[in-house]
Order: sequence, then C-alpha cells, then structure tokens
Amino acid sequence: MADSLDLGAFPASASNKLDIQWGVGREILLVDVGSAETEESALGCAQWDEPSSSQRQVAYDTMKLYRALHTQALQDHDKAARLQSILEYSQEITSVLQAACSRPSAQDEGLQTVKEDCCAWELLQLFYILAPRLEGFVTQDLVLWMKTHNALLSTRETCLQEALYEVCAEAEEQEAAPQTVSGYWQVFQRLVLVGWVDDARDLLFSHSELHAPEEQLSRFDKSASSELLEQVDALLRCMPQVQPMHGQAMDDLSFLNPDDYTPAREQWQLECVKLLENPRLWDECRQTAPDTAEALRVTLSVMSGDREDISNIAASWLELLLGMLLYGLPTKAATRHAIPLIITQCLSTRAEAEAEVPPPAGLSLPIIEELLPAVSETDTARVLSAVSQLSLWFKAHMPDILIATPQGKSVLSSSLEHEGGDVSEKLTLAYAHSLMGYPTTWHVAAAYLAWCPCHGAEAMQQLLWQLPMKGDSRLANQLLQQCQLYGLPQLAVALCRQMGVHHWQSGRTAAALTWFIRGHDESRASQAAAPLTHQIEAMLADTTTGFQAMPALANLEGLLNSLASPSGADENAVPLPQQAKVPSSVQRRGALGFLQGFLKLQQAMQDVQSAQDQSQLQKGASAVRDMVMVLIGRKIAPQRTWLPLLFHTIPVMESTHPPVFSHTDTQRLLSRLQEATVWLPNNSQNEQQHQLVAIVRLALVRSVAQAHLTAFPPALPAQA
Amino acid sequence: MADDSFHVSRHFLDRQAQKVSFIPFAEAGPAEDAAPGTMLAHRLFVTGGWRQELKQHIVSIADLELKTVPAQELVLSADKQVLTDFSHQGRVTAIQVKQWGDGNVMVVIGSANGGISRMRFKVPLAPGSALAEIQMVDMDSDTHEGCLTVWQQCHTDNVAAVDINTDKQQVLTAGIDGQLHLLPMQWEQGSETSTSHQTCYSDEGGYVSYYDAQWASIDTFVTASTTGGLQVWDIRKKSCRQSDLKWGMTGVSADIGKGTARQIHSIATHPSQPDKCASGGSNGTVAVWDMRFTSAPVAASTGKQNAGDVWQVQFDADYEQGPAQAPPVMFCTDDGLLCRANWAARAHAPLTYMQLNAQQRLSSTPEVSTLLSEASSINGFDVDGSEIVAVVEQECMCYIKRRSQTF
Repeated sequence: MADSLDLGAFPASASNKLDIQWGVGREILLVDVGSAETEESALGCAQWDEPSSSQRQVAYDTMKLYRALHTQALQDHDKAARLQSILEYSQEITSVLQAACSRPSAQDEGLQTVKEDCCAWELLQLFYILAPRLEGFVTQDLVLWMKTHNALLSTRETCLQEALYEVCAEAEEQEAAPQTVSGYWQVFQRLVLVGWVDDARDLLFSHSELHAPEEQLSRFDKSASSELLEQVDALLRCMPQVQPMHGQAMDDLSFLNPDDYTPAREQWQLECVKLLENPRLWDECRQTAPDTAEALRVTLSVMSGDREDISNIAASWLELLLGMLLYGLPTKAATRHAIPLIITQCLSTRAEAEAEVPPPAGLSLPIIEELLPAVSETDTARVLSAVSQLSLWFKAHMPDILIATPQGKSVLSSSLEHEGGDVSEKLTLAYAHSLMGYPTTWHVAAAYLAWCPCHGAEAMQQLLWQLPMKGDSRLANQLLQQCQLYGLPQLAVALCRQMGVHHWQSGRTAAALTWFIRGHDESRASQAAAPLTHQIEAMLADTTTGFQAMPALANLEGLLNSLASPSGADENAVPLPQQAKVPSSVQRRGALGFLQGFLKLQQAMQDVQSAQDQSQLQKGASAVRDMVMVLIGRKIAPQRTWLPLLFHTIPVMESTHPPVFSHTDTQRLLSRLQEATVWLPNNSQNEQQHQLVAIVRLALVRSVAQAHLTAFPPALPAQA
Repeated sequence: MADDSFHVSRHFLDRQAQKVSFIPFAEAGPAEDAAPGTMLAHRLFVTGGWRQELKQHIVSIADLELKTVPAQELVLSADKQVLTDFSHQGRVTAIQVKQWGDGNVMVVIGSANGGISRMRFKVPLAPGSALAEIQMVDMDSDTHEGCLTVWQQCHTDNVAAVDINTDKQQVLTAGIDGQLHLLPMQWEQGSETSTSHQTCYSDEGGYVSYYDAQWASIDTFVTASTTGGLQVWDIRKKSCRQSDLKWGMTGVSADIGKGTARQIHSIATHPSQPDKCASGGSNGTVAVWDMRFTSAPVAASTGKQNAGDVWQVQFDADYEQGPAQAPPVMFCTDDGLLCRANWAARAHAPLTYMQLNAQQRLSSTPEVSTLLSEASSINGFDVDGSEIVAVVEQECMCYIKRRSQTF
C-alpha cells in the first residue's frame, strides 16, 4: 500500500460543509461552503509532486522528440527503418537527460529524479537497442555507465568517486606521501577493478616512489618498488578496451573491436601473470616497501583474473560484476546472451555477503538490482515491475525503447481488460496527468494526450475545460486551437461561452459578442446586445426629434458584418417578393439580426439625409426600402418597433419619385401595421399611439396610391 | 533556419516569458584573455512572464554575454544570466522599452489587472562597458518585497498595449476595457495615483475592446480592436479614421466570412514610414496596411489548415531598400515559428491578397522564410538590427544573429 501524502492544512469552519473535488492533474480543490446566513465560502487548492525546473526542462525537450518518433511510426512500415528511428530517438533523449543533469541547479529537488531517469535510460538503451543490434561486448559500456552514474549507484560509503576525492584531499592536507594515506591502495585497486584506468594511473602516479629526486636516481639503481610501479602503470596503459557500443561511430583507436579484443586481452593477462611471477622484484620490494608490494601484487592478481581477489576488492555487486567482466571471466561472458547469468551470480554472491546489512533505501542501487537483471534478459514484464519507483516521465517514454523487441511490443500493446487501452497508453496518461495542472506544462500534457487513442480525448476535454482562463484571450485562443486540432467542437463552444460571459459580466459588450458569436451562442449574444436594442427602441419611440443615428452601433459594424448567414433557408421566414433585394448578411433573427438590419437602415437614412442630388436620394431611399422590408416585412425587428420604424420612414417614402416602395411592399407593410396595432388598447393613454397609427396608415395608403399610379399610369382622356 | 542566420542559441530561462524586449546597451569591446579580434558584448533584455517555482508573475532583466569575432561573423559563446527579478501584480501583458537622450532607458509594463508599472535606468554607451555601470534611476517598486508596484491603475482589465512616445514624453496605453490613455512620462514622486494629466479616449458602453496600439508618428497612433481592421487616431484633432471593413476584420481576404474567429492580435508601425503598419492575427495571417487606407492591405497567409495565431509582428529594419511596396515583416506564431515575410518578390503584383498554395510548406515559399522553429508557441520576440531575441512557451529564450543585409 502506498504511503499517504501530507498536502497541508486547509482552514474550514466546523459549521460549514467541505466540498472536495479533483482538479486538473495533481490537484484537489476544497471549498468551504458557507452557510446561508454567512454566505461566505472559501476555496483552497492542494497540489503535489509538482515538476521541478529540471524535470520541466526535460519534459519540454523530449516532447518534440516523442511527437516526431510517433509521427514517424505512422509512416515507417519497414522494421529496420523503425529500429533506426528508435535508436536515434533514444540517443537524442540521452543527450537531453545528460544536458539537464549537467545544469547547475543547487536547489532543484527534481534533479536527483532526472539523474535516476538518465541512469536507467542508458541501461535500457544498451540492452534493448544497442546490444541486439550490434551483438558486441557490453563491458566497456557498463564501465562508462557506472562511471557516469557512480554517485547514484553507490552508497556514500561505497562511492568510488567520493573515496578517490577523499584520498586525494587527505594526502594534500597531510602533506604526506599519498600511498601512506589510509585507503590509498584500496581505492587504487577498486579503480583498476571497475576499469577506470585513467583515474587509477593518475592515483598511481602520485606515489612518492615515482617522484624521487633526480640526484637520488643518479646515485642508486632504480628501486624495485619504483620498477614495479612503472611496470604496473605500463600494463594499465596498454590494457585492452573493447569498443563501447554507444560509440560505434567514433573512430577511436584506443578501443578494439570485439574480434581483436579477445586475443589482446589474453595476451595482456599473460603479461600480468609474467610480472606477478618475477620473484626478484617482489622480494626486493617487500623488503623496502612491503605495503606497496602487497597492494601491487593484489592488483596484478586482479588484472590476471584471480576471482577471489576480485571478489575481495569489490565494494558492491556492481563492482564485482565489472571486475568479473573485465578480468575474471572469458570475454564472451559480456555478450547479451551470457551476461544475465553473470549478473545473477554476482548479485547472489554479494547478497549472501550483505545479507545482514541491507542497502539503504532511497538510493538507486536497489532499483538497479532489480532493473539490471531484467533489462539484461530483455524481460519486459520484470522491467515494468522494476521501474515502479522511477519517475512518470521515465515510465511514459520507456515503452518507446521496450517496443524495439518483439517481446516488449507484445507486453506493451496487450490491452488492459478493465481499464481499456494498453499499458503504454496507461503510462502516457499518467505522465500527462502529472503535467496538466500547471500553466507552464499544460501544453506538453496536451501533446502527449494526442497519442492516447482510448482515453486521450476524454482527458483532453478535462484538461482544456478545467484550465483557469481568467479572461486570458491568448490562452483561450490556444485552447480553441487545441479543440480544432483534436476535433472537440462542443468544448470549443463551451470555452467561447465562458470567455463571453467573463466579458459580459464586466460590461464589455463588444468583447462578449465576439466570443458568443464565435461560439454560435446566439441566445446569449442577443442578451448581451439587449441594452443596445433598448437604446434603439427608445430612440425610435421619440417621434418628436426624428431619426437619430446611434454612434455606438458603428463600433459593432465589423462584428455584425462578420455574422455568418445561417445554413439553409429559414423555413419560417415570410417569403419575400422576387424583386426585393435583401442583403445576404441580414438573414438572422433575434437582437443581432435586428442590430444588423438597423445598422444598415441607419447608414441608408444617413445617405438620404446627406444626398446632394436626386440620384443619390433615390439610391439611398432604395436602400432604406430594402432594410424596412427586411426588418418589418420579414419580421426581423421586434413587433413593438414596427410602428415607430414606419413612422421614421415616412419622409423617405414621400420624398422620392418614382416611389421606392412598390404596391406589393406597401400592402405588406399595411398588413404588418395591422398586426402591430390590433392589440393596442383603445384608451386615452394610447392616444398618441393611435395618432401615430393613423399617420402611418395614411402615409402607407398614399404610398399605395402613388405606387399604383406609377405602375399603372392613368390614360388621359382624349382631348375633345 | 534561414540562410542568413549564422548563430542560433537556445537558453533555458526557468520562467515562462510572454513578452521580451531588448534593452539598449553599450556596443561590444575587446574581450580580455581572448584571441585578438575577439569582442565581448552584453545584450540586455527584459522579459515578463510566470515563474512556476515561486508561483508569481515576474519581470526579469537578463543578460546574454556574447563573445564574437566580428570579422569572421562568428559567435564563440553566448552565456545567459538573469540579473534581477521583480515580482509583478497580474500577468504581464505588454512591455515597451525606449531609450532617449544619453543612455536614459524607460521600461513600461502593462498588467492583466489593468495596472501600469515602470522603471527607468541609465545604461552606459561607451563600447565595452561593464554591467556594473548600469544605474537604476527610479522605479515603481516595493524594495522590501522586490515587487513592482502600480504606477497608474488606468484600466479595469487587461492592458493590451503600452507604447512610449519619447518626442511627446507620453505613454500610450490601450485596454480591453475600451479605454485609451495618454500618460505623461514625467517622474514625479507622489504623483503615482494622479490622473489629472491623463488624456483618455473612453468607450463607456463597452462597444470597443482594444487588442493592440502603437504610435505611428509624433501625433498619430494606430489601434486594433473588436471594431475590426485598424483605426488611426490623430491626437491633435481628436479624430479617428477606420479602415474599410470590406477588407474584413484582419485585412486578409481569406478571413472574410469566417466570423469573429479571425482577429488581429498584434500590430507594429514602421519606424521610418509612418504610413505603414503591419498586423498579425488568427491562423497565421500577416498583413501590411497603408494607413492612408487608399488600398487594400498586402497580406500573407501561412495557408495551413490549423496554422497557429500570430502573437507578435515587427518590421524588419535590417533589409535592403528595394522596389517592394511593403517592407519585410517578422512574426512569431503559436505553432512555434519565427518567420520573415518578404514582399520584394511580389514587388510588381497588385496590392491584393496573395494566397499561398495551401499545399506548400511555409518555409518553402519564396515570400516567407523560417528563422526559428520550436515545438511550442513562440510568445514574443524583439529585433535589433541583425539580432533577434525570442521567448518560447517552453521557458526558454532563443538568440539569433543574422548576417546584416544593410551594413
């Protein structure tokens, strides 16, 4: 059972209700719901395991690689090409991890996690990609891997780099011969054992015997100890090293290819044995420097392959493993087929010795104890079990490597019976979940969710919906872009509504309309535009001052112009006469349609008022007629505005010749007038309204007559 | 990467910057302890963004130390260090830096909660000067908390733009609340909350929200708003001219009929041609307007189905003056591109919308070249001659050094 996590305290009143909800990602929202009397509620939020700076850096830099690999996978049908892509991907990921590990960041708590990920990643890469591909020896790769991650792979007591540093520091501090410092020879032997030849030679070179004054060397023959030291150093210098697999491309002459390595190492070990069997040197050395003699003898014994000495010197099972691979076993033991057995043997040997002293928890060594055997056998099920303590980043990216083997592919792509999806998707989802709740990494989470075929869409909806937009139009645009990209139209509508309401609440009509229109939310758009509609109605109702333009409406012209026509014809619309020209953009109902039409009517009225000649007047009047027929004829305008609208149109109606309103138009308007006034109470309070009706009716009748006369000019009686 | 970029470096900032601007500083001087011909330069820049570790909005001043060999057009190293951080109330929505006189630099910052902050310092101009020679003159800050305080709370919501007019000593601010302010730059202690000298163009009814604003000349400035297109304001006449709405909300004919999903996000006036203004908007569209509004804007579109929005545009001053009707424009997009649109190839084409082939990749078109390609949004950038600094959503900044085309 997992340990519980303390997320902090949230003050809540004992008399109130506490509402708890999952937030986005690793977040819990707590609401202290106030009682009806106090009406005070408080909101709290608890987050945990927030990605640190270095973890975010890794997340950013690997996202692009992940996306490219998976996009490539859709196109790669050739197995070799696929494996090549995976190899390049894993190498690029390694570079990203190493760069993040080397970044100086003292206060970054996540750096340790990144280092652990890097350590495990290199191991996976070696056994799942490089070893099957190149079929060489893994010895040198393991030497370099252990050197890179020594601090992680050891306890403080067994850390070789730490021990080397301490010996050097102590020698410097004491100003004594280094070989007299406690631990000097032990560290030297361990350095040789794990194959850190350069460090071993540097340490050996600090031996005081190799720095005897020149006059001393000229007066006496070289001492046996210095001769031995030099010969050991010479042997170390020419120690055969097999080419590491991850550096196959490197043209480094100091490494041998696998074919040359085996005979070279046998020859080299014979020379070690030869030196070991030189009694003169050893006897003389024992007399003058017994410690040096004994330490060098053990070292040479290790180099010549003595398994007992190897086992005695090794401070951990990893050191034992490297000692055995470098010196104690035939070179072929380091092939991918043979090494699982060696690893198991080293682990069991060391486990017996350390049975009473379990390794400290929290270090990577216990993980590696499980991971290395599993990885070396390419046993994917065991690998998945072993990495349970590693980061979610690692678990999400690990399948990309494991899938390189047929067995790995079958394990990872097997569907989960009760959860849906496969193992790979489950791991990706968990990783994406860990990035969702933060403004810096939500977009990375979204990029990963796109590759989750079973649950990705649902999680994406949750992510995009729960991100706090707080009126941030830039973020809103980004979220809408994601909706468009992943086909989430309903969510897009909801996000537009959220933004629209935000602006509406703040009294920003134009911004609110922008978002409502974008979200096809005509109902709210009409509601938001209602104050303007009321202003227009108030202006129209004032019949004493004539038609007044509404300057605010001009600011909305762009928005109203951008209204798309509804798809298909409006079945409920009153069909217009064929000859009537209607601007295609004014086909909406509701407040927006009214505003759209009224804006055009306003422009046409202004054109009529500013007309310089008859032609301009006719043109303007014709536009006024078009809009009147749209607003009233098609019932776009609210019914209560028909009467005042017609009243304000009378001057235009009567100032043009030939009349712009046809006989049919006027008949339709008369019928609309009848509809608008049929329920008008006949009392003294509505006297003014009734007067208006009479004026408008009279004007319309005159217009009918005029239109009729224009259409059918009376034939003048022949002059008698 | 474009052929004329000879150095691109990427630096992790550890903060998600939304805005960036160069701060003028002394030219390069000879580098000590380096080969002859090696020069050392400091490129200062200010960023505004979010710091996750501190969970704070933050304004940072950072330095990029460059070791270059100008004769070989070589950048040997580029090392970034953050010099100072100020926490900031509200999301940083706009930053403007201007230099005038003898090294006087003013930085004005707009906030999502409607406040304006400012800081002023004096930078050395002698080549090879050290960072230690920068003098902080004054700033609106709470020195105990390291927090920038508000100089003027003149908007009720998002400040969409701030721009400094050094000739008139005025700061133009535009807000999503439909207000435009002209604030005097004078630094008077105790006048923090005074609004007596403000000139305000206010839309009380909420029928306008501004997306961006910038000075075009001493007396005129340009805005982009919910009204659509561009508006040119003349402060002498207190008048406003609106672009023809038949060109659509963004000036790009492909956007006409696509509703309010197409908007202008950013505008930039040309530093020496007051009649030219560039705009960047939804779906990767960029347009260059003639602000006399005698002709339709010349425009480019990425042509991609889901092209990212353009967050910032700027004219590229580092170009050869040719017969093109519009100077080249640089822009950054939400899908991680920093591009340069060059109209020279279309010099003799009519001023109409130039639709690129939808099948063509952005980088392969002759008009638009990609300077930088990132996995996430490029939030902002600044150009100074042949140098470009860009901030990326992934908490990093990129520095680009190009071969100069004019010098």
